[in-house]
Amino acid sequence: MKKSSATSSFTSIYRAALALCILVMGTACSNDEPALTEAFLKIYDDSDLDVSYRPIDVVETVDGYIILTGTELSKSDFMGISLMKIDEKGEYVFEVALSDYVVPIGDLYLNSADSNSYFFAMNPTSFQAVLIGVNPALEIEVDVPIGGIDYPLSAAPLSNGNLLLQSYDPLSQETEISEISLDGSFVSGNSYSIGPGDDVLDEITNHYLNTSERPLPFFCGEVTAGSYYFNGFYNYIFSLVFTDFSNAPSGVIQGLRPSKAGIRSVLSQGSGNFAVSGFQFDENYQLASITLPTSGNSSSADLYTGDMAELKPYTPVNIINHSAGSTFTVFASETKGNQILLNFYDQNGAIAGMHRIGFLNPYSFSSIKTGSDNSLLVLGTTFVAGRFERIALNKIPESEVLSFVN
Amino acid sequence: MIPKDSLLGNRITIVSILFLLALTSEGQYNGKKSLEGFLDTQFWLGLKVGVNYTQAFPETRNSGFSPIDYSSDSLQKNYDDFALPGAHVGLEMNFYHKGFSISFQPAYKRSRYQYNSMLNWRGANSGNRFETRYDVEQRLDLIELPLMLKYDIIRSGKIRPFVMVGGFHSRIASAQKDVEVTQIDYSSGTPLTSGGGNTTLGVKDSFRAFSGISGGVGVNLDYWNIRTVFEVNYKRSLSSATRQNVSQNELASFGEMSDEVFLRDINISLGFVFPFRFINSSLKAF
Repeated sequence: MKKSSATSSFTSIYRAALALCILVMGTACSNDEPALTEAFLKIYDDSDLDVSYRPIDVVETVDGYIILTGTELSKSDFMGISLMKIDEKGEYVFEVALSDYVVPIGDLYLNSADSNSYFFAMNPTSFQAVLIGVNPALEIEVDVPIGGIDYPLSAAPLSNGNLLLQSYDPLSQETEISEISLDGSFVSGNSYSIGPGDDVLDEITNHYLNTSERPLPFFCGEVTAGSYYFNGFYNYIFSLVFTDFSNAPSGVIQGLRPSKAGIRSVLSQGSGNFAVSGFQFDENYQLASITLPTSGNSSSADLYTGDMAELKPYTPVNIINHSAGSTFTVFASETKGNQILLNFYDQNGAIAGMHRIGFLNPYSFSSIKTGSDNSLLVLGTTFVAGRFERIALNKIPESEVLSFVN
Repeated sequence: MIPKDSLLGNRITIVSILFLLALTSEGQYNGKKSLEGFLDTQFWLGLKVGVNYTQAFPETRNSGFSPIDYSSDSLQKNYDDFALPGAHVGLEMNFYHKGFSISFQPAYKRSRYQYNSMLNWRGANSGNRFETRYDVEQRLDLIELPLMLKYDIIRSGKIRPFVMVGGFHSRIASAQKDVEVTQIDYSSGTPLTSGGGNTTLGVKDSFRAFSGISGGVGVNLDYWNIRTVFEVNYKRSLSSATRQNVSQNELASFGEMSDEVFLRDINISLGFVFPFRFINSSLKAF
């Protein structure tokens, strides 16, 4: 009887222990946690409180990232040039200052064929444009002055592997648009009069010297092979100009003179459709899908659909397409509250989501790219402690992007 | 949409209740036993409350800042160990047999710890200096599931000291972080301190479930018709409580990023347990 009681007790304890183990193990092994992601938001800090950066663009290389940035120079009113090497986890590795040149011009273009990253700059004494190519270790591989082209303003890669360069000729008072090969040779191009008077020259000079205050949205790009556009001064007005390098533009969308209204950024979507960001005095608007008049003269005022009140006047804007589940058009800009704002539009042009970067520290926007893992790379600056402007790079993984959109 | 942790909590509650009902019915089925048998094998059930103090041990250091011209070591957070009291409340279920007990002690627990970090900037003039200090308090609400083995050093009398070892699994119910920023400007020659803002944010996504080992000592006090259990134990997580490579926009945008942290804590608890087996009209518990 006693033995039976002890056996029963052991059985009870055994059952209880087994049940408890199952209970604990059951809860311990249930895996409802999402997989780790490779997100980062890094602020590249310098202990010198007088240092200030103005990042231009970022590219992803085989072993991390390269940031092209402008720096303040004590010996020149022009912006200096620095390249930062960033590792795959977003940590700063080293920096190379290019003291021979000034005025870094994006896009920073990664040529996959030679793994070099290309951008334009300016000789500070001759004002001549120069093409610079660096390898992933930031060693200079290409350093070529572009004959006959001064005052570079904007650049973009072309589908044929060459680069499109917008520049300004102060002698003939013309905006130049040129196709440049990666060895720095001129391929093709033309120039167009900016109109008489010195007002435009003053605006361009201020654009170079006062980069933080209402920079003019110079940009250029390709609609299709052989069909290009540039945003710049034409016929005295800041305009979006379409050209096939003929002597006369094929189409002009004029702003208000000289630069009170116009286009801030465009992205060709094919079949004559564009994503467009425009400005009308201090107001901003975004059109995710619209057919632009690429021939004849028209006015950007006809595109104005109403103010996006959240956007900062004269905000820089970049537009890219990004696939996260489906394809979205992403407009990156700055808000009046000093955040970076990403607006996602679906393929019908309807707003699908948004995301803001910045909370206690103010943020400014510079560039947005798509990473090799379909992440979003957002480059900008933040004012640490509300006063020290530092470069910030935010990598947003695709899984997080999906949470921004409907 | 119901949060997964809520579903988990409900699941645990339901399973626990069913489990207790099953044991209750078994106890009634066994009927009368001798007093010795009653004391040799017993199931105790009760409530437990207490305070805890947590140490966050940083295994891998992280920062939202990546320094250009100074060492990243200066960005390291300084942790105050076992500085902030937390609290816990839960059940205590003990299966006792001849000196040994298997004890399951599910509890809802709040752990707290704090740390600070500092950033410095200097100008060409050595007097031109600026500092920013971040003071952070981290609060974690945990569903803690410890399974312990107890051994009564003294098996008779009303005062029965015991030792215990075991393991635990903790799940994150919620997590909040308080961040206070203080700025100190030395440019005028006299340090001028001003607030740089403070904020409280939910940071549950920055943490994950973790497991570890535990050990402690205690004493059972058998007075009146209740057993009072006073115990002190130390828990040490063997897996990280934080997720790596997760950056939360609101925090990361001003440079705050959690280290990879392993939690260690000291728990001081007072429990009140009742015998749960063999209770009927002919046999009192004590």
